[in-house]
Amino acid sequence: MIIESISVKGFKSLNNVTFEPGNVNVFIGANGAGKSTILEAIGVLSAAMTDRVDNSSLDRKGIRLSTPSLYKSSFRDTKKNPTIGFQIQWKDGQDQITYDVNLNNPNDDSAWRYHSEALYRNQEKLWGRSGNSQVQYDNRVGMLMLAQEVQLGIIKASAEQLKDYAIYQPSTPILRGISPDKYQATPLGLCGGRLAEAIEELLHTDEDGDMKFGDLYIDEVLELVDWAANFSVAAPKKSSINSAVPTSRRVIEFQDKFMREKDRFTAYDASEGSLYVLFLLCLAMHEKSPNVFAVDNFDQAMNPRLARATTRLFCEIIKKRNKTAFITTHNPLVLDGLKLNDPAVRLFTVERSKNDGTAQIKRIEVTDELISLDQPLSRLWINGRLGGVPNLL
Amino acid sequence: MKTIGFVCEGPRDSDMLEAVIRHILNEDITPLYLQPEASLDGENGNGWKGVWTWCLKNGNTLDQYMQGAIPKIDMIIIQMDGDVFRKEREVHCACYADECAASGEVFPLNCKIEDCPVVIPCGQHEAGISGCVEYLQNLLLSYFPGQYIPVCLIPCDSTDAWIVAAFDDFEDSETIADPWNNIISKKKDYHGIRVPGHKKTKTVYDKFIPVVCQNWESVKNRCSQAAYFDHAISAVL
Repeated sequence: MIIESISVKGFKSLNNVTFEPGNVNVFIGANGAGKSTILEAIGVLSAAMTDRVDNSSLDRKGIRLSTPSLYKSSFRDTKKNPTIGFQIQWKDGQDQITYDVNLNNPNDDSAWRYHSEALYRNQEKLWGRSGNSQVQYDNRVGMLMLAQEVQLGIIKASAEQLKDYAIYQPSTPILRGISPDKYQATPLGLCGGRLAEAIEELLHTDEDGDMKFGDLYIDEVLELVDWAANFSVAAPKKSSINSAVPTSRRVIEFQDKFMREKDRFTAYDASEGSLYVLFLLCLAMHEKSPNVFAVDNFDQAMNPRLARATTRLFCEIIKKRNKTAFITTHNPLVLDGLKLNDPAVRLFTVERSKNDGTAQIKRIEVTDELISLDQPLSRLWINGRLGGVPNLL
Repeated sequence: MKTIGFVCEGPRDSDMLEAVIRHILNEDITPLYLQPEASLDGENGNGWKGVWTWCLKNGNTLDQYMQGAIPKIDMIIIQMDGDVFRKEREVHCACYADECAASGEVFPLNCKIEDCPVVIPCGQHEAGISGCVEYLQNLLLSYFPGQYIPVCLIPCDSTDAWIVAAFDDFEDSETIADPWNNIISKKKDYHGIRVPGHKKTKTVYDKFIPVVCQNWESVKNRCSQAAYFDHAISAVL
């Protein structure tokens, strides 16, 4: 699934926006600009197309559950949209596929109702429904649950790639394995649950006898986790974790570069930045992780330079695996990890219009000439050239 | 939507100019706050020194700076308050080039010379507001040799004078020294708008700005730089 464009109308601060994503899409902007709302809008779109939109489906995707009236855009000086609308276009082989949906969200907590829904291949309508359709479908269930195989054909497989979309927001206690993840999922919970198991599934020895972590040699990972000599996954042992600390069935064990070889400690005692790195790499590389996903606050707990190096590696993996990631960040050095001359990697600013408060999304493109003038992206962002900064000192 | 870069002494200045541009054009713009910097340390410094340093650093490469990233910048606004002309010796360094060996050798803000010959008020200019504006505009615009020339604005005595011109019928709004302290925040409120602690906060400024836009014609009549700004914005955009 190569997503070509996403449009949102009437959802929270996204009154009417369209953007064209690549494989890695980074959103920057002031606090409250609407970055997380973009990730949520894609989540609602995913639920609408592949399942249904209700509290349960939204919660599973990591979307904040709002009161019904807060989902719909409501700006003082702007006409209110009667429905909340989404459109996604993607490439399926040579074909351009368009899915269009308009939803009514009721005033109670019941499922959202489908006002209209349609699927097109190269502008030719393959399936659709509205209040005027001859065939009446359940108006609380979306296309992939309703349409017959014969109507969707091979498009169904590509549309299903959006089914597992979720917003990941790892948190330290869950990555350390001492708190349960409310958002359980396979291979990783949305807050970092199952990290040890996911790492174990990725660790293997290749045919040459070299230790690998997914696509990467273990040494490539250890460049990012540079205080560690090695890491592995094992059952918790008294020698590696205090018996008073609650643990999961499997724990990540680290060997410090400067400690004696036999000494090991677990994620409970390890640097949290390293756990976030391992989490992001698992998400990018694991066969069972979603093909399309989002990470809110990508750079959490990382030193700026670690964030830069992790971003660089993350982009390479996502592109190689042809996945699509939507991420938000407040760390300028994350931008220096982006190769913006590669169309697969895209940077967007999100800002609220001072006229009416609606969120605006702009793609940022930068020439190599400008970068060569000792103007790295981080600097351009901090000094205001890219936008996406509050007017503060 | 036009993209406008703001190189200003402080964030309240860009708030004002941004709102006025929207008023003049009657359309929304995308503002880029280039100076003062949003970084914690503010590498170029803040206030008038920051504006001057930004011009020094970016003047030669302004064309690439404006065009080298998308969205491109349609216009850059440089703002320095006119009070700098009467208060700061450094901006008059070139006027005393014959009397100082260091003049021209070192950027005046970095000059450490102890027996600086500059005397203020500097008598080597045309008198009045027009002399001040012309001198500071020439000083700042001398750093831009390329195709794109910023709009250089020298509100006198400061941007706050536009607030006074919007609220009060003074004929000499531009010649009032330090209008914020001497007029606007002198009492607890100014024309019914509270100014807590005499501070120029965003909340307070945001209450004055709509009145400046509403009375823009009066502001233009009373402040020559407001009229210049209106003309420059309308002509270029």
